[in-house]
Amino acid sequence: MLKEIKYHADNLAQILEIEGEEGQFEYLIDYGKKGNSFLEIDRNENNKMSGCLAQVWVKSYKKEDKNYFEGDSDALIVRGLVKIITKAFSGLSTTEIKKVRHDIVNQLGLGPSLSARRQVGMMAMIDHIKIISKAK
Amino acid sequence: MNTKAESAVLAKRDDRIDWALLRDDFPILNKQVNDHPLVYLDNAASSQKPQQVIDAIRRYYEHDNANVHRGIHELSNRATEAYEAARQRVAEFINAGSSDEIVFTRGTTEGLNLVAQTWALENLREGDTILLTEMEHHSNLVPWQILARRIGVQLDFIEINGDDGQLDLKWLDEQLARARLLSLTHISNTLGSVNPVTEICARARDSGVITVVDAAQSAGHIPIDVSEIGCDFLAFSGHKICGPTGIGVLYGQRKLLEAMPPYQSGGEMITKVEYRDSTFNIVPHKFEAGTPNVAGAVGLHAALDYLDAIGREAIFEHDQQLANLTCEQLSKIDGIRLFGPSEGRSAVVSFVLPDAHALDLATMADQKGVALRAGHHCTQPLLAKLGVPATARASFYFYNTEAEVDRLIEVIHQVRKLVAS
Repeated sequence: MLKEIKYHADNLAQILEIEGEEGQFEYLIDYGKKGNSFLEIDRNENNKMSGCLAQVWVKSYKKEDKNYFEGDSDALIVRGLVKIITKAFSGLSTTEIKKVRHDIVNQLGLGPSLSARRQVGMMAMIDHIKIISKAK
Repeated sequence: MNTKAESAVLAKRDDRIDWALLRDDFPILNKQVNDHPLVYLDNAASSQKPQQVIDAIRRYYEHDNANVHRGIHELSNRATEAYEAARQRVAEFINAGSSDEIVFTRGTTEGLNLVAQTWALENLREGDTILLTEMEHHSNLVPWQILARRIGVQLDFIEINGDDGQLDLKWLDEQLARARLLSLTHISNTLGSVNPVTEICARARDSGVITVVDAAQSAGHIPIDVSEIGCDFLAFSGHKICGPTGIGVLYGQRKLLEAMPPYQSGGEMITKVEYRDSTFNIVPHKFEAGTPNVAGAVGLHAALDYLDAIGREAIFEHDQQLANLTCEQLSKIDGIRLFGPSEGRSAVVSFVLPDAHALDLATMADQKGVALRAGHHCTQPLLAKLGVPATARASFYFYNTEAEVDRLIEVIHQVRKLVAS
């Protein structure tokens, strides 16, 4: 499992047990708010993912054969998820990204309400990341 | 549990309705969702079903199920009788001249597509104009766009006057003068506006324009009288008015239906088939190829009985009370954007909070048992015009209560607090 995914999966699992899904919402909202460096100018059509209920933007750049991603959303829970995924895939080579299956999101340990609604969206986000990094 | 529409009648005392008593007819409304009592406020998407409808469908499958029209055995006769009785009941429900003017469809979307792919394809030519409104659901927009691509018709739109969501009819006569067909929604699923379809259809008729009314949001909420509206076609769905999914209605004026080519083809819609040609059945059967949704029609019949036992005037009054109460409560939130008319609104309340995204609200409200909808509500161009990517929408029906409005407002405040923390 990707290190970043494992880190959040452990936290989210613990929160789900103690506080339930509402705790997971809070965690994701807080994580999304923390250090949000996505610039307003980057919230543009080029970076926008289509087909999402909330608006989602993802941008990427390459440094020494590694891919880096940043993402944002106008919905806070989604923003938290976008940030987890973009951070998890940052620093990977295109070959490494290719090897990651998009159902890795199942390992995040989201509660039933969140997983039912957001799993498909997160898989689409991973597919989007694969496309913009030419890993698909 | 009472049978047929009895409980709806029992809930009436001296013409006053005990709305809380009606809730007992809906098994799902007593359920817990995410460990909270369900507060179902997504009725514009689909309504819940009373036991009477569920029982009617079960009874049909237990006692009468067979294929319709062609059989000569008892069950087939019973199924045919039930199916055609449902058609007759629909005709009464909307005051159509005859049950021959009632075509069963899968829902509103199929009804609108049927008109686009039959009447419009047969009668419109390149350069002709179809007039729509800016508040149409995708199901009353995309079929016309596809037709435009196919035969080169033009689309024109009656504008709305901003967040208030009323149609601007200033240029209607000029627009009608250029149009061959007008298709519009009776009640907006996003704004809650109730459009003056009778007036608009009368003006369209004066201009010789064919009229199509999308009654998906109005059929089970206000009385519908197609003779009074004066429309040529009207479509609605069963599942939004306490009936089952997969059954809907297209009303069409008989002379138009008779002149139209078939929609889909196969069994049921023919009278004689030879290897190289066929002759088609009479209306409405010409438009019902294949084995129809008999159980759906039976369930719809029960739903219409149920609604009329309550009374659609009373339902609309109740809808409006809840929607107005919601708007009153929501308008106390600084910076909220409320969509739709301040007066005469239907059961739909769309809004954007100043601090919580509609999707965050709907996700967290669900966790507290409150079912809302968030997004574009299949009206993407309308939301683009209003300049918002998504709204939250609460939509009511007669089984909703003031206590549920209070719960909604309570949950909204809880979510805002959580988002702000």
